[in-house]
Amino acid sequence: MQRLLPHRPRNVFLLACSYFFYGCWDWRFLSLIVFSTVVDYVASHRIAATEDTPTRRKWLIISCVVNLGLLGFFKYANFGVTAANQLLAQMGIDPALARLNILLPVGISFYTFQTMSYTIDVYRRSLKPLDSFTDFALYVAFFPQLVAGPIERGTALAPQMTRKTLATWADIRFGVWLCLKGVFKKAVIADNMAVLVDGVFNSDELQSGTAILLATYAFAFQIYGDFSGYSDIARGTAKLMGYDLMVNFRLPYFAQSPSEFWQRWHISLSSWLRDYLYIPLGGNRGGTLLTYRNLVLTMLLGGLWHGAAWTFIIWGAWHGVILVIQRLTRFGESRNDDSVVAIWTRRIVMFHLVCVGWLLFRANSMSQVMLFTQSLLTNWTWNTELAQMTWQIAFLCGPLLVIQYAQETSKDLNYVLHLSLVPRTVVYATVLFLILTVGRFGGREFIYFQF
Amino acid sequence: MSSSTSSFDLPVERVEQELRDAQRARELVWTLWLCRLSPLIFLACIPLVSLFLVPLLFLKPVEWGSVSLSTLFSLKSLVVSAAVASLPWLWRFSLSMEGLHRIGSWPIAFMLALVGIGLMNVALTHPRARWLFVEWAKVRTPNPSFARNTLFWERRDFSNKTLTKFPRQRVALVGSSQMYQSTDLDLLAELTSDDFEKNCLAGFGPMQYPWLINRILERKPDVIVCWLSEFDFYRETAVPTGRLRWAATNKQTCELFNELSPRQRWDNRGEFVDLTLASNIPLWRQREHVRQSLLYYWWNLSRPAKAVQGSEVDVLAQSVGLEGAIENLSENVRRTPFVDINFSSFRRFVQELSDNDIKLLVFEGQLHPGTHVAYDSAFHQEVDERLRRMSDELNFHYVSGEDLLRLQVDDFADGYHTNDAGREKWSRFVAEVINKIADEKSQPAAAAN
Repeated sequence: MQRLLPHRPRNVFLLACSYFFYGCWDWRFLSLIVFSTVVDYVASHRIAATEDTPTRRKWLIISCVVNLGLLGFFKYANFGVTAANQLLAQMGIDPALARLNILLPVGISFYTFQTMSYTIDVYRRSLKPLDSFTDFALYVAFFPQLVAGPIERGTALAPQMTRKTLATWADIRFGVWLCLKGVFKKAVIADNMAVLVDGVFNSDELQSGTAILLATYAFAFQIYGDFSGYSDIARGTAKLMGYDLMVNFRLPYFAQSPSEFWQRWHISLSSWLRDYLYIPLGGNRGGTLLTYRNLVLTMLLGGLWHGAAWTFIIWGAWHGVILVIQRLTRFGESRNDDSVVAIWTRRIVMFHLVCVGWLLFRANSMSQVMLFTQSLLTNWTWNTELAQMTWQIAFLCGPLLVIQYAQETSKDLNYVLHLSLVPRTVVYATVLFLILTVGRFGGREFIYFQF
Repeated sequence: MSSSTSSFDLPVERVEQELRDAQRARELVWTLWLCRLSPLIFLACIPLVSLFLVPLLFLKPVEWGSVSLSTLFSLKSLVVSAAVASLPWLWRFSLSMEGLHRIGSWPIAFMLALVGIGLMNVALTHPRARWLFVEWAKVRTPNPSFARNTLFWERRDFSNKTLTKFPRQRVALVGSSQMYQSTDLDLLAELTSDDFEKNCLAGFGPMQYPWLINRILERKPDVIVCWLSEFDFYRETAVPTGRLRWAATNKQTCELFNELSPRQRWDNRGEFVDLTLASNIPLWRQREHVRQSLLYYWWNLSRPAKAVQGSEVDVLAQSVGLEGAIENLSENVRRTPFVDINFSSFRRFVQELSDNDIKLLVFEGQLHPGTHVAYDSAFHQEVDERLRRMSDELNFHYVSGEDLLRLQVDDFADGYHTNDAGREKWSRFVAEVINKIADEKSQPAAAAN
């Protein structure tokens, strides 16, 4: 189909497929994505058509208000209502605000940020708007990355929509490998870890500190497998059609400092926040205190982007705080000590700092966070179930970490593809075997679909 | 946040050809050392294999007392050690075949991996390999679990492969953990002149009956006894792949697919993909066994296995208290489109038995009397009526209503399963019914003589 169709009909076909894919969740939300697309298409053209700064700014503001308004209404309205009611109740006033009966459109945070970055880039004159509405609509709704990213910049993806991209044999091979890797991360790692995590976080029984620690480790791998697995599948699917999507993860658990972690984890979001929030806020140009404020504010909003809950906000605040502490202590930055012990110490410390964040992120409520923290500090036990849990985490995540260690030391994410025939065959066979036998295909959705 | 250009040495997706050459050079060094070490690897492997291979496979303790030179240098340990020691040579050989993995643009490694997986599937169809696999998995799966139940069914294939007709009438008790817990084989054999065998699985529902008929017929039964209630017919909301996968065949999958409405087919599309894969790929069919054996590797080391009686396990399902059962039943027993599918599946099972000239005796299933509040009593009446109609039409014995022994509260250990007293009471009743049917049959025959 890809090769048979000329460029224009091909984009129409891909757009129809993308809308069908999105409509499978809930066809009513198609109107929302079309509306957002039309607004940004018009706004970007109006901005590009004039040199008059107030007019350009006016259209940029219209775009931002519409996009953030939609996002705010669908994602945060009920959170605001609940928070306001709680505040009113504390003030002794009868809370009368009713919660709205609204569903969260899948992927709204992703495509909203993507279209906003496009319009902002046009405003900054770093991008020329796409002439064809179909090309632009496809850029917004491109199905591999529509519901859970990567959040593609206009400068990277939009130009690919204007030309006929055909997958080469090498693209197909690489795409298949990415998809296979993604399915492995999702079905073998994430969904198996999810069972362990849910067993602890969704249990009504009092959990031991050991179980909470293990469940938090498991969640670290669950969310990594789930999200980076999706990104791999998205990139692989796009590659099969000849499109390049950005790398969204670079072995995040090998980071040695908080700032390095954010250059390895959900890179499309962290770089978005950096370019469209942190730097416009002043970045590190306004002195020490302002830099700290900007860091915390950016991470707070990053947390809020994930969802309307206090746990996400506090998760964001936690990352803001550790970024500030890193700035204060220069932890992991100078790298004067490159001994193996020093490197691994920094990695282990950083992994545990991230895990504290994951505990906040996964907890069902703040009271659960308090309860779990108390248990972590006081209630340590060991039994058969915990031994099994440890074995399962080690068995499923161990091989991944071994390969990632090789990738990290060689600084080559394609390390496996550069292996010789025998070890490469062993890796492929192991991946296929584990997908076939241990993979879970029970219809558990990707975590980031809800964001 | 950091500045826009990274100050860290981050890994990237590299595509340079030199990387592959550099990696090959590294692997040449590694394999050179490994090949040099291979004699030592061979020698080290011999005692390790002879002492620890069987304990590792089947989680048995090492028998230090029986260690001798002949056991240490057995043919098996020599062959396995030689195979391990030859791996570096194989790796090095593949490196020396410079062009082997660059034939055109074919993904040779991926194709070889597929071939390897294919060979594993073929191996799983070989009796000896499957026996090894079953024994390996059996000691690692938790008890009770459905995977463990089915492993014991697999194991029967090896212990009684040359099963022939028995001199006495052979009765197969088919059903779920309820049937399993409520019958005493020794007592039944004592009270009748028949041989009894349990063919039970946890959660064995009517949809599974035709899927397992070949495995039941392999046991060459003369009579099959079932116990069925609304709990069996009214609990499915989707195709139960977890219980059907292990017994999946293309024929049964197609038949089930044809019985569903287009909407049900669409809603269960994932389940049918699963069952189709299971019908054709042994590894997929055995995936629950592989999963359990890989993920519960420590089980037998930390918790001793329960004593196994005959060819079955002690219990088939977790004990569920009355409250738990009421909660479970009120959540799960309801009218769904799968009720009709369950009845038509059971009908197919009955017809297959009839075609094979095997008698069927069905008892109205019973739950703890306290659980009746959990769901609509009309479900019970409907099951009773439909089974009664089916028995008239297809000519099998159906025992229900006033003819049935009603179990009381004191006869149950939990919401579903009988206790010792209930088991004895029920077994005596089943024996009485079987004897009565035998008498009824023999009287006309005697009169004719």
